[in-house]
Amino acid sequence: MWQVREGVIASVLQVRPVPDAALSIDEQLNRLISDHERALYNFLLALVRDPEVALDCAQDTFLRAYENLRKNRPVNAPWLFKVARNRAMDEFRRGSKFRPESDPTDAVQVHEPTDRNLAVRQAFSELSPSDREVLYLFDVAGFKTDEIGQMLGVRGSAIRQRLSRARVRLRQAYGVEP
Amino acid sequence: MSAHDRFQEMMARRRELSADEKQKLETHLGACSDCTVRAEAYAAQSAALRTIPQEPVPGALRARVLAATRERQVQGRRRLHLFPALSASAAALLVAAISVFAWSHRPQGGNQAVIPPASTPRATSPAAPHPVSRHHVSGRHHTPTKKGKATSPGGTPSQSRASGPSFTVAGGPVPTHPPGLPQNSGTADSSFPTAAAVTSALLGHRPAGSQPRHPAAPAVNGPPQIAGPPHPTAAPRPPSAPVAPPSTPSGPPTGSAPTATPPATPGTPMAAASLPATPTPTAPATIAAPSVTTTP
Repeated sequence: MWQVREGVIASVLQVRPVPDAALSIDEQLNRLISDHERALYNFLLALVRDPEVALDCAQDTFLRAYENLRKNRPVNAPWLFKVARNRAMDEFRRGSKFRPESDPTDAVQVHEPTDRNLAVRQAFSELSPSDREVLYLFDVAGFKTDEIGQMLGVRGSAIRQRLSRARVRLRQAYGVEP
Repeated sequence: MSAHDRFQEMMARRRELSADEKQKLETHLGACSDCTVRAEAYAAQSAALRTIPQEPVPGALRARVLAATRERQVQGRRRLHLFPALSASAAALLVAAISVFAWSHRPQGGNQAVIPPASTPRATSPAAPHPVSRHHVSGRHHTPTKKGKATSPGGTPSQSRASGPSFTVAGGPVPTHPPGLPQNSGTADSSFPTAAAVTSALLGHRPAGSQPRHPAAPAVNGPPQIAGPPHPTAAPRPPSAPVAPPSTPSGPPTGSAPTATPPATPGTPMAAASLPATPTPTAPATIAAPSVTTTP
């Protein structure tokens, strides 16, 4: 079932540190999974909206991380999100069957968010993947715009512009004029 | 970008603004009601998005990842174990291929020892190999000579090579395996067929008068092989075919071997002389041979 967590940003920021290189590769991988699996999985879920596809993407992301660890390359949260995001984009390109728009009322009945929050989340789910990813990475995952720019391979200024436009579109989507 | 747009962008990322930027934004918001409304809306957006439910991760994720990593480790070990075996087998295959290649080229050098004795009768014979077939033979053996594998007993390698294949049949193996015979044409032993095929090809292109180049043929199976010319290609001159073999100086193969000193070079002009007489047959002698046996 849905579990609402209010302090998502704090939890994501908590799991930023790079795995200790003194640990074995398996231990580093286990630590990576423990620290990032939830944020990564929910990020993928927000993008692809299909639990199975999100699970596959998360698995591939951690396997890529494992290969990187074996090659003594650093693995951190931005790298994981970047790989996960690219993997999700691959799924979009393949035209995978994604679950239809998630119905936020499922969560409403359990957690009873305010009407405003419900409207925002409904509008969020109707945005384009590009807008969703930048809004999610900034507001939910807690990354800075420069970090998101590094993930997506663009400048931070470009991300700031995208973020501003995404907010405008989100506001339009839930019925408020920009 | 106007100042208004700049503040709008700052509102969109208000969380990460520096203290200086925050102060500037607050100053602007105090003077612009529209931006104040917008800033409140953006703050509400962020708050609402943070309430996006965080689903628990399926327990299968960790298990699947760890299983996949273990599988990769096993595959890597298997590759490491297989590598020596694969490399050894590849090396063995390479050695075998090289040895087969070397062995397949070796018999040609061995046949050449037999060539000189057999070349005598043909050199003295009035008929020389058909120019086309001779060129073919020499062309075939030019590549080995270029590589330096040919060890000609006398004269230039190309010369000896040109007469080589035909004489090997005439001097050595002909008594036991006449090339003109039907049973040998298709099912000869491994080393014989190439020489037999070349020889029979030369014979098949040759008119009736050119038979003497096979002196040993009459000794064992003379009539069939000599009768090669009677094949339809040689039909216009049947009488010359039987006459030609006896005219050759050497009868049995033993006699033909030692007197092979004259090289094949004299035969070359002869070949040119005998060229017009050939009716330009194209069928190889191996095919013509069966019909020859039926003629008597």
